[in-house]
Amino acid sequence: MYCVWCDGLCIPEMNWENLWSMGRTKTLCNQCENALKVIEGNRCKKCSCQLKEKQYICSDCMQWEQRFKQDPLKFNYSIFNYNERMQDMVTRWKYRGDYHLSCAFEQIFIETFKNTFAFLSKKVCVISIPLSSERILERGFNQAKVLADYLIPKREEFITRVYSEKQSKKTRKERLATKNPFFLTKKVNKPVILVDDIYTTGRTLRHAAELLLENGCPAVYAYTLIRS
Amino acid sequence: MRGYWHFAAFSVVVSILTIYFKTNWFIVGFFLWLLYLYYYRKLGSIPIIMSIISFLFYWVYIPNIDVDMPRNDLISKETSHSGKITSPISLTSNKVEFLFQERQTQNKVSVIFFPDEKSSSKSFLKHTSIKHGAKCIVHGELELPEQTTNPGQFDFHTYLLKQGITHQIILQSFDDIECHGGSRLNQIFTLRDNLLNYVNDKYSKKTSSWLNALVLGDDSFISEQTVDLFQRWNLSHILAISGLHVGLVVALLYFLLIKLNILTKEKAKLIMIFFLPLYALLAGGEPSVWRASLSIMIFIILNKAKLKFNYTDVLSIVFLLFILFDKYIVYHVGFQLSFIVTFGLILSKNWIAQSNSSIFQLLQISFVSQMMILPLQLSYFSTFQPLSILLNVIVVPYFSIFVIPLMFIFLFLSPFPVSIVKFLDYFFVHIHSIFIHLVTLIDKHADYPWIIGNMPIVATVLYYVLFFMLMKYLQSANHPKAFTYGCSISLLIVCLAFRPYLSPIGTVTMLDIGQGDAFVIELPYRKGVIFVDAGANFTFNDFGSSDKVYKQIIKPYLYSRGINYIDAIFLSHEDIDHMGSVEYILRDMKVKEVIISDYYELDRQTVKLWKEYGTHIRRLNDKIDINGQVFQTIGPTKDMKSPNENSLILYTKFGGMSWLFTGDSGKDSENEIIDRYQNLAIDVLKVGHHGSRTSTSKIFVNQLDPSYALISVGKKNTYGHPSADVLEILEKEKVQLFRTDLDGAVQFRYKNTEGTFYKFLP
Repeated sequence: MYCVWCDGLCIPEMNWENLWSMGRTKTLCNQCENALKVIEGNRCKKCSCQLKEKQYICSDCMQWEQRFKQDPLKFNYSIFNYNERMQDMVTRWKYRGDYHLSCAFEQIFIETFKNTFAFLSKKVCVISIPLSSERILERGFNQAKVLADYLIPKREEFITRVYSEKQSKKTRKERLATKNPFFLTKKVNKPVILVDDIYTTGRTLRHAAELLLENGCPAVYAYTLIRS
Repeated sequence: MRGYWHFAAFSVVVSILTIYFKTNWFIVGFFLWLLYLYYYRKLGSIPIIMSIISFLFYWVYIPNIDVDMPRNDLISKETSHSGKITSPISLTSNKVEFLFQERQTQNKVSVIFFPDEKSSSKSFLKHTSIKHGAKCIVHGELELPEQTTNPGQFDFHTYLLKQGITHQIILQSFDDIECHGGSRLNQIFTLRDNLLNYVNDKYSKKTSSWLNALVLGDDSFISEQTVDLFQRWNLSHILAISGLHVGLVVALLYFLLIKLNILTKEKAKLIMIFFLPLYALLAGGEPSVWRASLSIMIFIILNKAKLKFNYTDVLSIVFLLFILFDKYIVYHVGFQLSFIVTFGLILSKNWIAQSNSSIFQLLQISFVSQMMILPLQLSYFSTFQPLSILLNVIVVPYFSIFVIPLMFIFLFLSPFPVSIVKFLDYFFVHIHSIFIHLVTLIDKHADYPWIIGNMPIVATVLYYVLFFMLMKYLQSANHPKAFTYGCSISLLIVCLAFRPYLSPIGTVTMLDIGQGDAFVIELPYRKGVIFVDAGANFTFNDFGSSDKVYKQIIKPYLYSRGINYIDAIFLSHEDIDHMGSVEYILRDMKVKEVIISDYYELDRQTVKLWKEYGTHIRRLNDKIDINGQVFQTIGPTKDMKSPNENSLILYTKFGGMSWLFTGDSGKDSENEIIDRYQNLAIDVLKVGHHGSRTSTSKIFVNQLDPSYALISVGKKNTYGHPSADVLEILEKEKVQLFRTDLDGAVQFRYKNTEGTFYKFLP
């Protein structure tokens, strides 16, 4: 097996967990795996950003609380920090269309999902944040959809999106001021887990969450790969 | 193949297990596993093909000990053998020993010389110029090493066979061997001997003994007591030079070379590659040293070649090389322990890295090491010390941080002026004796070994499965599941320990202790363990008892049966060949009572000593019920004025047969019995006085009419026991005879009212 990022040889490290089943097939070599930083220690209970000890939620999330009476998102859970290597990977994955790189995140995305959302009963649905049709044409694939498709229960489609300027090209202020780009296509009466690749300000996810809540969805959670 | 070398190593382990346990289930299991991995695309075809090739190759290559077993009648009667010395010379004050390979037959022979007053071992070395690699002519007859005759006893014969040694020659004098030449390696062995002597001269006895053990791999200077103590507490791995020591010496040397600007890093690494094998030889060349040295060498080489390998790969490659180089090594206990522990620790890397307290990490290392070897520990020593996991946490850091580095420093400092050396020596001896004292104290108050006996192979497999599951869940921090598996392992061990209590089979074992009696009775469901006599050998200087019989025969037998509590010991009379081992049994185990006749002469000192050991002394002249087993005394009825004639005579029933234990009683007592009990008839007779003609009269046998007779007698004894007359009488009465000198130990196994005799020797 060769590393999907650096093309170097991946050598499995034997331990008690993977000795019998050989564990998951390695997609990143040890070096590349270690270059990614998983969020560890204390994190914001709302948005998953790294926090100092003893803090419960971050100032960003406090602002969100003030803005809405009740934050439309119950919480967001992210796996990785957005470090330099992750930025490089996202660039190649998302913007240059290296679809195959997705498999580097597959196993950890599935495992963390199991551990984090085990408390929700099976009556929950997974929705990925959609791209506008223009953006799909540009990128070739929807990275959020790819991630959501790894998960069980199966991804469902309830919302679509109209074209707007890329979020990543806007300032924070502009981002927070954007209008809701989402439209509902079907009604939802189950709790929803929204899946996206990156949580930056939380605006996009909350747009979707607001829309869902207004239309009868009891609760909305978010599950993202990266917290930037 | 990189990252998958352990499959090749596993396949070799499977071939070893298949050969050793003579079952094909391991092959089935292993290949099913490979198939599973292949099916789920977890494993490519190259590792599988490699596994099959290495399995087949090693299956043919690894020797099968049973097949190699040489037969007595096939020994050549040649008395002159030419060949080569293939091992370093082992030299102690009472034995010179080396390996010799015959040129023609390629037989490996162990050559032994026992020095006496006229010819000490040192002068032997001087006179004969024996060296590693020397070509020699040896005069002497080939013999088979002595076979074991008792269950549980250390089997010297198999031990030699497991090293590929088929015969031995005992040299009578200097003139029996002529040698010339020697190998290059011999210079290293001589250097080692010189270093050992040099250290002995330079430092005090205590310091030098530890220095020699920990740096040069020779623990023969450490007191037997300490070695025993270390063994009891599973600390022997410290005395065997292993990764810990080699790692330290490499780090120390590398550090010195770099920090003192003697060499560049690259050159220092190169030096290490040459230094490591040299050190392995200097440190005695045990498998654990070679394992560590080779692993580090391979790592340095791989690093230089910029190749990525993981730890399991390197360990597996070293493992394969080891067996390729010496196929008999698979039977070496040190080899087995060393590789199993290292493998377990490599697998535990992630788990250990998870915790941030270094004390807890030590505990984890200690736990994994001890648990990995538990089945081996039980099969080799029958006992396990659970608290040793905790003790290791104290002892290992003390040795690795303090003693071992200090020992290397001592060796480097030894050429310096005497005063510095003396001071360091003084300093070390004081601290170290306090430490050893501490361990001894712990030993005294917390010595709770589990004496479990051997572990059946099914239980061993189950144990490892449970242990792997436990470790898996510990690593993934799934503590409820880990707890379940931890409990299952404990339950398994408890079940093993309770095995005898569930078995309806009782045994009566006549141990072969040479010229003397020792019977061990284990009642069904382990309701009781009873001795009838527990003899010993004489020591030659003061005709007291020696602990040889106890240590080599009685104790290993009891341990192998998981016994450490004895309900009663009957002593027929006060001769050493019937009661000499009692003192040692009392010292080691709890004995409820010692039962003797009214006329057994017991001095005050002995009474005091025995009572101090916590036993009760009972004089018996009628019957006694020991946990449901009734013993009836039918003699002595009056004082017969001689210890032998005053022997306690016991009548009891096992497996529907009636037994008579007679001690050393002679014809007078026998007449007494047939007078008194005219209707007495028995099935099994323990023949009196080892078959001497002074016992076992014709009328006695005639009236009792036994079907079986047991004679406990030494091979080639000087008394001429058993006498031809007695044998004739027994033969005429058509009594089936069992003799320890011919049959080894004899065991009667019974269930309800059925029982059969089994001889240990075929």
